[in-house]
Amino acid sequence: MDTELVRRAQRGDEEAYTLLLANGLAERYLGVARWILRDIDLADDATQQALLSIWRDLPRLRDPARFEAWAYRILIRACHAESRRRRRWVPSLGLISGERGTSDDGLGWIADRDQLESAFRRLSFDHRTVVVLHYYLDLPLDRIAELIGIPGGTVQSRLYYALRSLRASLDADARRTSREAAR
Amino acid sequence: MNSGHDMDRDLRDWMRDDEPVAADHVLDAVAEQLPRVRQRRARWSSLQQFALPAAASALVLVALIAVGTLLGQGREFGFPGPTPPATSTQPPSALDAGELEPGTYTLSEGFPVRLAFDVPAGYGGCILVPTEQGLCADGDNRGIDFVIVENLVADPCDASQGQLDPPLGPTVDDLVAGLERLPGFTATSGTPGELDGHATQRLTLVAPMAPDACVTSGVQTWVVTSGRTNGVGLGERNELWILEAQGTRLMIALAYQPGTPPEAVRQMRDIVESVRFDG
Repeated sequence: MDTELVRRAQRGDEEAYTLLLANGLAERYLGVARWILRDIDLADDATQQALLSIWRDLPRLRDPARFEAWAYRILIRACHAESRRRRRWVPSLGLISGERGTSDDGLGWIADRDQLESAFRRLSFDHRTVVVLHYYLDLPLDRIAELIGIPGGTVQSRLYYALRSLRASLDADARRTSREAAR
Repeated sequence: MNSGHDMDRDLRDWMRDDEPVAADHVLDAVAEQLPRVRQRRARWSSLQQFALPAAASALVLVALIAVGTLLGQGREFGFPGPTPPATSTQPPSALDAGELEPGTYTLSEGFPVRLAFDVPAGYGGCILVPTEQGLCADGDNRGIDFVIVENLVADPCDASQGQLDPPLGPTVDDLVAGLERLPGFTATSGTPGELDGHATQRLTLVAPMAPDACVTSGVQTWVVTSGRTNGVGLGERNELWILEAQGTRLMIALAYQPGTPPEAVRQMRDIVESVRFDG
């Protein structure tokens, strides 16, 4: 993170802030928002809202070196607000459909990912957030705790329950598939 | 996929295979709006800026008091006695989306009831529409909504059923009765209470846990005057205060999840109890 750009942006330099965003920050934030919300339109809105809030509140950030953690907190809050908005919609066109790609495993791979996607969507917002920060951004648990402002033990327990819940969903899907195959 | 798979590896592979996201459209939208968004002044830097002159003024004041005391010995005049400490006169700030400093806030423009409330550290402003504003807690799916409810959904688990028809009546009791009957929810009966001198009805709604049919469409509850339909998470609890204030039916919803720590819930209740109505 270029702290000089952060300092300049804190003083109201729009060009510095735009550069900061263009240097990969906007992509990273949008990626995180898409994983947390699993909805392209809501992720766009949350990221846009977060980037504007970050700009507005930047002069209040005391230590530019802590920009990233501070800004992620704002992004997660924006995702939270959008996730509450999401519930009015029946997911349809805007849904991200499992990020399918090409794979040597063929159809089995796609089925696996679809099941994982479906199980992931059933997680609560808090659980999804911890999973995304840990597995998508590769952040260690203590950093996640610092970043979202909750105790390390809470992060650990959320991750534990999220993984347990994912396994339970996948097991249930697997049982259903075998029952159907046996008929 | 089965539990024989390594969940750590599966998740990591799945997320790492994600295509890089092009954010140009978001960047363009932000760049266009940036000139219209005014940056907030740093409170800490203002304090630093004034720290030195304030310290110097304090020294001058102490010196003047000492001289005055010396000159005034044995006389009836001199410097007046110590003044009582000034009470906080900082006006409340209007709620805004984003991080909030601890302090007193009013709801932002467009909300029909004028009120103020105290916000501790760890909350941000969440404004969905003018008639639905409130607080989101940092890092948690919990918050407080101030909302003007127009109607309820006909079936919380089936969005295609639309709203109640005939619609909900206009009184506090109409809304309480409607919420108590919300299909699939567990609701306590409305109990009378008081909030800043206003009679309230309080009840708690608990959303159903895991009906598969609701997983994709979500569980819906009330319709806000803007037309937005609220939804809740599976098992989410909503403690509700419903009252008439300034001629408007207001609902305050304190929302949290089954695993939310009790101290966090108590803190949110304190925020609600701090509400003061203007007029």
